Amino acid sequence: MKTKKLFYAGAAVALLLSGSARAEDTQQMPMQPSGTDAAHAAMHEAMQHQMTMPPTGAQMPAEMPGMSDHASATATRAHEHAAQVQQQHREAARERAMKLGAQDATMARGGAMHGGTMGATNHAGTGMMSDTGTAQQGAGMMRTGDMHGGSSGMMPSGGGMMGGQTGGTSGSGGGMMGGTSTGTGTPSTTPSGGGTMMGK
Amino acid sequence: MIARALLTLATFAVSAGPAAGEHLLAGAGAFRDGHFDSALVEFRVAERLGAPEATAYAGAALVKLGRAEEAVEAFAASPPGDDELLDWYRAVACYDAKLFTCADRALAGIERAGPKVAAEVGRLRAEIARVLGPEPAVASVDWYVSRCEGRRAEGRVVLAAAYCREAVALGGRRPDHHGVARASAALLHVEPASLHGASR
Repeated sequence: MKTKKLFYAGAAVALLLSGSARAEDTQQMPMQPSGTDAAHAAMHEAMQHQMTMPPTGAQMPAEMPGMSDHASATATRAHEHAAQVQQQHREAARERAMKLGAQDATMARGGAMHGGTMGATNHAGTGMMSDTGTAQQGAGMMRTGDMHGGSSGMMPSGGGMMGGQTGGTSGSGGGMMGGTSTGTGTPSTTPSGGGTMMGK
Repeated sequence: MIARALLTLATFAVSAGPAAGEHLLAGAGAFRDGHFDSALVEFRVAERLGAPEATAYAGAALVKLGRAEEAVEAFAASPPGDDELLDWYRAVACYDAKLFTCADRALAGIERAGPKVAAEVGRLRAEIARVLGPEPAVASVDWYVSRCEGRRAEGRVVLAAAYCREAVALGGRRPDHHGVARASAALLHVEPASLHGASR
């Protein structure tokens, strides 16, 4: 009886040792189903626990190939800024030219020019600059199209332009021109006065 | 005495069990605790020890680490449809890599999900629909083609194929099919290799 028990025990030990050795041999092999299930269950629970929505607000990449989103945005801003500065420079140059042109016209007419006239011219010119003279405002006018209206109103007939003091570039220009012609120094408040003088 | 010996042997046999399983379980624990870098190491080791599912788990860890392109490569080793949670992480990997149609395909395959997953799937699909709503810009299609060619040059054929497929899908939604021919031609070179799992 005792021998039989020892035999069974020995057999069990042999089986276990054999199994252990096999397990060591097969460490490089795919896992047994039970181990896989346990790990899968643990990972499944972990993935659910850590499940979060990715950040929304994604956008389709629309930049040039190889350019990052950030670089693209920076380039766009730089381009817009450069265009704005260029526009401002153009407007400032245009206004300087207009002012000088008006002064030249005054000088050319000038037999009757006297101190009051110069004062009026300067005053009107300053008024123009203060109304529309900053480059920023000039750029804004170009964007809205006011400048075009003012210019076209100004060019065909100085007299028509004079009445434009009520708004925009043409008004300022009119005031200036009227002031130059009359020499009163108050051209901008009398729209028709400038026109009259220009007509003479 | 005999019983104690058997118990000792049994304990030894179990502790010497598949090492890959231990690493998978350790990785799952680290993932659950938010230690995604540690989880990634454990999954990589399990992968080397022959646990096939470890690659996709590594993909999930890569998603959480913000390494979307590597995650896309990792998920390519396992077919979709086996696990709805893994498919969720697969979709997020695509989404984070700007592979929106890829993400949408992965989400569309999640049919047996629980309420939490289903809700998240619905939200992410709505977000993708918003991104894909407008007609893709030429620059966007070009970006994907460029990515495809770039990754192909690096030997990352899985990623290259993913970007080319995205370019084909997006270009096909334009009336002029911009970029479709070029992306399809590139896809011919990378897809066979990507299908055979040559991921890097």
